[in-house]
Amino acid sequence: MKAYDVAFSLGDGLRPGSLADANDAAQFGELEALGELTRIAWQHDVQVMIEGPGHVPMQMIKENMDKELEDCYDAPFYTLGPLITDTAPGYDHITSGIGAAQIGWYGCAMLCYVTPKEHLGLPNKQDVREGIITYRIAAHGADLAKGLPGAQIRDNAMSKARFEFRWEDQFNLGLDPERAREYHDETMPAESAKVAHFCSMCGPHFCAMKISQEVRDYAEVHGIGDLKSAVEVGLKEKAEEFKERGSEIYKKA
Amino acid sequence: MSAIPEAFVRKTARLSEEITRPFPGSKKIYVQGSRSDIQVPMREISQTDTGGIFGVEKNPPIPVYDTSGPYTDPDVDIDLLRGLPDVRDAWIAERNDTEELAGPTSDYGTQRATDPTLATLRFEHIRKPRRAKSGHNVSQMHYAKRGIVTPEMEYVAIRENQRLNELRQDPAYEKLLRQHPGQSFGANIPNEVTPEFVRSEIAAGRAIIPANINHPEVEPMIIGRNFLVKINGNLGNSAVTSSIEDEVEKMVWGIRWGSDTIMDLSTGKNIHETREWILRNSPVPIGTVPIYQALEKVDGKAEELTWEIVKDTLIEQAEQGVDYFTIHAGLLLRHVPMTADRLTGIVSRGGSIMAKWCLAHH
Repeated sequence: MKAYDVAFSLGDGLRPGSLADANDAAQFGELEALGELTRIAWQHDVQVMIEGPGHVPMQMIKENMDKELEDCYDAPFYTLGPLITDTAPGYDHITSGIGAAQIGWYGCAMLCYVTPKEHLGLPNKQDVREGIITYRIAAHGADLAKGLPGAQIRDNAMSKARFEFRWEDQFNLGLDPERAREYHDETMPAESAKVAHFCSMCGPHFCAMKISQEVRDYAEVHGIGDLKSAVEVGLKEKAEEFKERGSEIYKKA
Repeated sequence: MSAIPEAFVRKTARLSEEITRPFPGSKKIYVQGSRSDIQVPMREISQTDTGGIFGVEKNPPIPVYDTSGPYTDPDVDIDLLRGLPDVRDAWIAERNDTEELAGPTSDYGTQRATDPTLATLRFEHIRKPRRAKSGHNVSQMHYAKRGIVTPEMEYVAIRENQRLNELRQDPAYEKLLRQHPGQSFGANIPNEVTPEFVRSEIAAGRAIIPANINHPEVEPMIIGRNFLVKINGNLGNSAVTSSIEDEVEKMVWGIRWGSDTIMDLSTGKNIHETREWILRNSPVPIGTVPIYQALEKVDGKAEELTWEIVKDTLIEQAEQGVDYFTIHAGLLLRHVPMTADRLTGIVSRGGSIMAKWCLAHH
């Protein structure tokens, strides 16, 4: 391994295959053994990550992360999901994406994707795309929750584009621009709809973002300063008044 | 005359149309490091202006992490038959701690390389494998522990930052940089990822850069708790019918949508050749479960696996450039009875192979 720089991904051969078997003695016994192997690999300066579950209900996910960090000396954790319920064949990219988002937040370094065909058959191209986007969502959600600097830029840009009805930008900023455009165009295919200040969800008269924008425009046109500066001016006046009266907090009655 | 089948050549052309087109409104950018051969790819999404009653506001482009490799760069001429450009060649060579071998040193690798019946499947531009010189250790962890910041480490530092420092200097991003405080459960997340931070994390074992010296095409990436969370996508043909070009196409498709690494879980008789095609065309690290192939070599009889066969398989794959191996070595004989009362027993393929071997040999 050290002659080629191949990293070890220490496999969890005893990962639970069902919620019922989650966090049992076999799974955690193996995890402890992986910790021993990690130490040996590190003595040879061989890089290591640790593979993890599997099928785990939500309240038991964090224990997996905590135990991995402790037993395997902070080596990166690499988990398959975990799936948070066994009831949704055909949707296991979602059951596992939820668990993946959680364990990613708790500190898991890499999330192995699951496709909608999990437990059912070999994934085709669209299943692969679906699985990967699901996991990009989980990973990004974890980055946001952990507070990685700059993680929110793309979200903010998207929200601004959404508020301003910049449709093209919304599509392009998305994790799957092609799907976003396709869904929008299903109901409003005309090119002119790409500059419209509403979409087919609420129609032109009930769009909250549109109404909110109209409120802002009204305030600007009628010279009603924004709330924040009005508050600041008001506070400053009060502060001056306070100083003039001798800066006493309690006035004698 | 090329030994590569006509169908494959046609497929190559098709690949460039269907799954390599750049994302709309995006362009590939490269951020240079401390030396001109550190060119870190990112995708930049352009934005239109905000039109308002009081004039036009410019919206700045948004840089995003890009796993898709040269496939989405219209300036790069993609030729699957040749493989991707070598990103790391010079870095590996100048460390002067590896040597080029005369050919594969595994028995199986040699056998496949000289089998004339495989000529139509074989990647044509196989380079000679490299290995550490005797007494040397070429792992990123080894360099890190000795205080060396490698170009790979600098590369991932730039990649993780996504130009954040420049954005912080630019007033156009001020509002976009607003962010809620996170809850990191004790992770040590830096305000800026420096090459030195990358080195220290690798030295401590908290992060890895999977990058085999025989996979110079890889665009280095890092896996660790104090970095961006990564995802892996799997390739797998359990059916014998799945062809090499399908597998390569699946790999390119997977990284297009954002897979940071790919695990090649293929089984079947031509996995050695398939893996070569994938590696030579993959800008992301490739992982495998070598026991699957070792098992093929003993016709699926787990109890017949020997260390010699497993070791030969590890060397065979290491010399092709596999970046990480899943090894199920934590499964011990004493763990097996603990699974007897389980609802679903052992569900990992590698795990069940190991359990069977343990029971046969104890």
